Amino acid sequence: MPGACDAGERAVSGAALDARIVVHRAHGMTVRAHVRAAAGEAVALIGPSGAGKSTILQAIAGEAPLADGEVVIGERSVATARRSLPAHRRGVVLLDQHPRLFPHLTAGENVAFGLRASGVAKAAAAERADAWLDRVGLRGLGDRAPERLSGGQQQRVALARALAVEPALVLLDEPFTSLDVETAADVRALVHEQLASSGATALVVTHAAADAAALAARIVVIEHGRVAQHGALRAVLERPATRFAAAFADVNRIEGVVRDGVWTAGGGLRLDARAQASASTDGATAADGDAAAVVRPADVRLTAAGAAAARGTELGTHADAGRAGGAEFGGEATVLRVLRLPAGLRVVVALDGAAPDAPGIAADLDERTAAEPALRPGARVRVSIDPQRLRLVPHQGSPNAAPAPTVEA
Amino acid sequence: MTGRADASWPWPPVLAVPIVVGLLLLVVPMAALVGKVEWASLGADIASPEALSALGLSLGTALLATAICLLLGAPLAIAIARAGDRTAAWLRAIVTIPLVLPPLVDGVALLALLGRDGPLGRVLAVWGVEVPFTTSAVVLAQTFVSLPFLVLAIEGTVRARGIALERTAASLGAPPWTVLLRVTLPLAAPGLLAGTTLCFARALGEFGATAIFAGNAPGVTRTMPLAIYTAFHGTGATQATAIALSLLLLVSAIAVLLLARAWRPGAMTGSVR
Repeated sequence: MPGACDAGERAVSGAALDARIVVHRAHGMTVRAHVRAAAGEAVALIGPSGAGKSTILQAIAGEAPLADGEVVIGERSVATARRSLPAHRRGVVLLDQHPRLFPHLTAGENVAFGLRASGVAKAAAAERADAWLDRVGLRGLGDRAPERLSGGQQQRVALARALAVEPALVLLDEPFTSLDVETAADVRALVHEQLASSGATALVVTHAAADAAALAARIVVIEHGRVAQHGALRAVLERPATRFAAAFADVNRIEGVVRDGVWTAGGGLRLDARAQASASTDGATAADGDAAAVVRPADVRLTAAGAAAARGTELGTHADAGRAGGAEFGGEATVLRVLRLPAGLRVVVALDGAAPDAPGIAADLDERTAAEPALRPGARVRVSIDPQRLRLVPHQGSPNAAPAPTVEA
Repeated sequence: MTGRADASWPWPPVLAVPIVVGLLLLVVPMAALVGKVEWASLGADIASPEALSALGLSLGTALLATAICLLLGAPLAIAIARAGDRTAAWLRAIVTIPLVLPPLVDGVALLALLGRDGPLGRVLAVWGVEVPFTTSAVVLAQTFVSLPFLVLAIEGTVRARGIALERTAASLGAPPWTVLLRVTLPLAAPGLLAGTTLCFARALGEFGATAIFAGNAPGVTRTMPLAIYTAFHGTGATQATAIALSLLLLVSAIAVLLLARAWRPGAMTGSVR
């Protein structure tokens, strides 16, 4: 039987994952989440620290016992509260920020390890290992000892080793955090390419939106041990339903309420929810209930407030902010802080009338056109946003609920 | 010895005194021993029947004892390395007991268990098996006192490394035996080497427990240390032979310790975690 599939050939080696997980962690927090992935699909798992992401990975890998629920991989029930299949029979491999190469084996022997362990003959395993090293861009380095490889090279070997055994499921836990920016970008692209071509099913835990965007088709947001939102990657990033999801997606979120087709929020903000819904292309509704208006920082314009003469003077916009004028959405605000980002200037303001614990609204401005003297903490400004750039998202999770005790997951 | 502290020696220069005295205390007696060797008759002394018998017995029993220590000690070391901190502390204390007790007491303990009146001795006597004062008793005594060296040397190396690589191996499909033989043991090699050589050296030099538990019968239980002791009490080998045997033990001790230097904690962890 021929060895690993060549580039271009698509074999679905991964299995579908259906994990209903209930795990009791220390300090009274319980993780209760249902995570699914179709065969060959990559799903990103995101959430604040202590939310339970690592706990979920541990339960699936067999390192944390289930209090209830079941983990099914492919056709097999791999774990329940009562029984648990040992790690070497699950077909679940883990890649995290430590390559964990066997120091007493060469790179090639590392990659061949899983194959040898399952009975493949030495010569055949070495051949397949070499093919895999080639696929990850390390042709000819099979005889190197791990300590003589760079961090990025070690991660590539770890990737080849994990995929060579054609695992049912690949778990990735922030595998790029120990790499420098350039290497991380290269390895990230490689991981995406290899996951896709090998048809592996993958669960990616990450704090970086770049990882999620590069690797995953779907996102699951975990907060306080529960699934707070899940869906296609674009859908979740454009319509985040929680504060964390909005922060992750780097968009602003203004919490408010829809009643009788009108959305209102603190400070006199209002929006015609029905008009928004009919103009939307992704099936938004104007149902009554908590909802948040979501807008990118690049679409927030700032103008001077206060004295009549200076009023309305543009303080700065982003290159592709929406057109000015028209039905205006905005209000008076106070500058909280000004941040210098690699891409430009970000001004965070607090809208008058917003809840005291609400996150500020970020406006990204082009550094060259921003009127910096007027943009100082405490300065008064006027925020205006083109309503067409706003999205209304039903609100999940009350901001006023007492947070459950969190634990380092 | 300079009058000022500098970067490479930030402590008081007067420390040189106890340092030199300490070194001399260790080295000078050994030098005196070497000085007492009768080089002319060295070959004949070592080839004398008493010496050869003691030498052969020592080597044979020590090798066997080391093998037993490996079989029993390696799994125990892995278990302690894996145990939680408090359990491990207790286990380590138990394992270290033969080290801190006078070997004589170790011998008394073995005699209490396996002597004619001992609980195990009585059971074995039913089958006509008597352990004390036999060559087996020598092996047993050596194993008892050398096991701690092996266990502690291996445990340190395995514990320092942690269990992450074993977990990785299992996730790649390696069943438990493969994990042990292809991952844990190879990576414990430095500790294994050091532990084995120290264990052998200790077994070779064992005296107190052997004297009490195995006795001093030439050819049966008179190992090299016992032969040396007996020589200085007038019977058995000559004093010259005793000195020659002592020189042998000294040389082998130095060789063993140089070999055991191959063990450094963390030698295998390096930059690959």
